Amino acid sequence: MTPPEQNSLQQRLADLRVTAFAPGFADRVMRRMRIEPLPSLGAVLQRYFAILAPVAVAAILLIAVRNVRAANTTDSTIVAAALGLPPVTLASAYVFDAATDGAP
Amino acid sequence: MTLAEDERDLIDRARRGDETACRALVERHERDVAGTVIGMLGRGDEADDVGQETFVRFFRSLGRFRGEASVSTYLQRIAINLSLNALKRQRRGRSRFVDADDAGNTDHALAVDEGRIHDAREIHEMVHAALGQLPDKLRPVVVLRMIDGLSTRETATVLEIPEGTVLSRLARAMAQLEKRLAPFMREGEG
Repeated sequence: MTPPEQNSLQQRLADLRVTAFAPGFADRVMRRMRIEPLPSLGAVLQRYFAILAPVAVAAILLIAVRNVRAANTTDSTIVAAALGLPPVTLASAYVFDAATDGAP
Repeated sequence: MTLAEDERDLIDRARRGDETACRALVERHERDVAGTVIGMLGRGDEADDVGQETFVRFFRSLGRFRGEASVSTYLQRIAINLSLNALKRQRRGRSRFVDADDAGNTDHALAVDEGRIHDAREIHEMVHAALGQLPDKLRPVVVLRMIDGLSTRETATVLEIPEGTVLSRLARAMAQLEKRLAPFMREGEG
């Protein structure tokens, strides 16, 4: 194609531009939205919760099992070990006091 | 209130389900979506349906819309994807009726009329037909860049591809169109 023919083709392509659908397009969209309403915020949150909850539960169980296995079972209860709580002893209470003495 | 603030306000209201805001957004962006969808599919009920679906999907995904791209870019992206899906559906439907021997003979519709003078409307239809014969990867680039008049960068943003890819696809598409339409362009010049 010669440059004028290329320009002609580009012009023909630009002429294909259409700037509106058939009249009443917005009405048709709104009617369709009423038939297929938007999901409410509650429904969206519920969907995300359903996806995330099993993952969160699995992570909690994994951490609890890891804590229990890592804990010294003679010094703490199974619950304290699962929650990763340090053993409560007289010595640790003194350490805690010393750490908070300087606090305002 | 600037246009961007005004649009943000409309989007916030649309998120809360305000129908007036939704309608205002449709009216404001119908032009962009119509240009893209009709450029991809041609005029008709299917284009209208894809246009409606584009806005319905947009309103449904407003919760995920963070405003990184403009509303028109976001809408055009949805419109291109839905148009490509519609083209695939059309092809699947056609392939059930077309004889396997005719597959690939896509220039037939243009070639048969080559011997005579065509009026502007016929040439317009031929350009559209030639556009319709472009592969799916090339057609959106021509529609956005040459018909909708977006810049190379804007086209790249809508299609989420590098600018270099836009340029190379455009060059390939224009070469194919030139090959198919050269005789009619010569006529149109005279």
